[in-house]
Amino acid sequence: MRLYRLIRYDIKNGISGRSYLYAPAAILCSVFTVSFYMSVQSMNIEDEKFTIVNLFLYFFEGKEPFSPELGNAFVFPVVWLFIFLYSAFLTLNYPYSNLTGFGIQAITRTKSRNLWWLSKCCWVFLATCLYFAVWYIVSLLLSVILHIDLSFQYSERICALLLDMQLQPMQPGSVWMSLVVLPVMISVAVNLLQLCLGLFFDRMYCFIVSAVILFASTYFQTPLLIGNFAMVKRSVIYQENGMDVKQGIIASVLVIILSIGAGIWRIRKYDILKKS
Amino acid sequence: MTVKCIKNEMRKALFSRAALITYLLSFSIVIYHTVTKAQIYNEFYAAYQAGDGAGNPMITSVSLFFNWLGADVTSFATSVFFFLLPIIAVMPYGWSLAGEIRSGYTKNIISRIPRKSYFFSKYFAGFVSGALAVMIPLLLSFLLAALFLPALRMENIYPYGTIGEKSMWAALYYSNPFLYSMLYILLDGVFAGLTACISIVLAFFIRSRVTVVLAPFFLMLLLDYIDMNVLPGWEISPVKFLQALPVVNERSGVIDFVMFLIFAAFTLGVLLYKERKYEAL
Repeated sequence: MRLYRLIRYDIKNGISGRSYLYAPAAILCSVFTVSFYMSVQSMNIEDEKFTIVNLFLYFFEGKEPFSPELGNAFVFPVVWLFIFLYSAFLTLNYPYSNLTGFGIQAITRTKSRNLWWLSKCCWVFLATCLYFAVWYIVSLLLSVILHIDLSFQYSERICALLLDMQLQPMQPGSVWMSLVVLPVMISVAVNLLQLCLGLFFDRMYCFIVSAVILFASTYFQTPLLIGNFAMVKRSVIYQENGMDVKQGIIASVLVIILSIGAGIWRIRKYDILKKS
Repeated sequence: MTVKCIKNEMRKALFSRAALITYLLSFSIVIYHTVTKAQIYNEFYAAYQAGDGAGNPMITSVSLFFNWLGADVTSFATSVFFFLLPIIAVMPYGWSLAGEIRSGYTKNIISRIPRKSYFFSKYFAGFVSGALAVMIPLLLSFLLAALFLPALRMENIYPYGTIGEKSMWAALYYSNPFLYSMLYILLDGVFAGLTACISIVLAFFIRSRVTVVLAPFFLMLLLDYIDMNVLPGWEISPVKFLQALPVVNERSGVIDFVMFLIFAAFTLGVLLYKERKYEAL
């Protein structure tokens, strides 16, 4: 009951009270969607069925495995990084401004630091899910307006011409996993890791850690950098030796559990008054 | 009064804990890059001495001017350094005005000294700290790489390390690569300084320190998106045109100058306006 009330408080103050932070996400999503739509239109391929899956493949395509050969400059996938880094930014500030403000009252009254920590973990999960919900809803609405087909099919030609992707045939289940479930889970994992690190270091350094993890994921193809699991161009549907969906789920759950556990251990010894 | 104020701000900017941590972060990138380059050079030199790979050994591929941090566009270290450049520039002191407005320090100080002195010294200190935070690691990387890499002039016959004829300072790159590298370090420093100044002036509108520090970073990402998707052809993204070799497109001196003017006009314009109109209460 006490946890429920803390979560309700966090939803009210950390999500409703900071809803203006979701507006740039909606604007960005609109810009990316319209820009991709215009790119498709400029290709003069009216006979091709442009679907919402093509659009999501554009958002989460990421970067193909990079080989640092002479003269081959590294170009990072800006759309993919923008999506995940804005999510990290969105969940960066509130928990610690709360801890040095009303959080002290909450901890005193609930008599439990663990409850405060768990409520913040739930808040990060909810805020991240809501952030991605904004992305999906805005792209759905724009798809309706721009007459982009709402189906689980996708145009292989658009993928090949605009995204440089030759994909294995995808079932609706793998579309859901690759374009909805995994990006959200990986983002939750990165954000929770950032939240946990915030108990050890300043928030800015935690954001740098998140940024470096995500950036390094685009450069190196390794399961140790969990951002790899959220990129279509690193998954088994794009390449034979790609990242497995199950591994991605296990890795993200592992990071989530470790971050929550390390946070519980740390919050017990955390000197709140000194920080505030 | 202004000189005293600048001295005070410079001391705070250069000897803060945040500046130290930023330097440690950038130096760790430099050391990682130097070690990986030293390993690659040792392998190359061993193969060269053994006479492996008959034919052209492409000796310029290990040239200093192609392998220092600012120019090594294929390496992780260079990519992550320029990706984090807006944060590296802002971290030492870009957040200071936001922090001081929030804590009430600004109210106290502008009731004692002229507003102009305070805000301009903040701007100056922010610029210098941002510029140094980027220039010192780049210069260090150049000097460390120069310890073991041959300073060979680059040639345009190879499929690496080349610059198009129309690109900015292309002739200088082939004729005097040392001057070219130094000019690039200076250019990076100027843009890093202006990036830090963006944070300084954003403090007039945004109170959150985190947002003030990260706003230039997201602005650079947005410019990179525009560069890739809306205006392809020339580099308008500072993340790309600040690297000493082309990443995707050729660099235009005119575009760099226009970007410089936009950054400088925005930051100085806001500062001049707020210097007159700032309301402490």
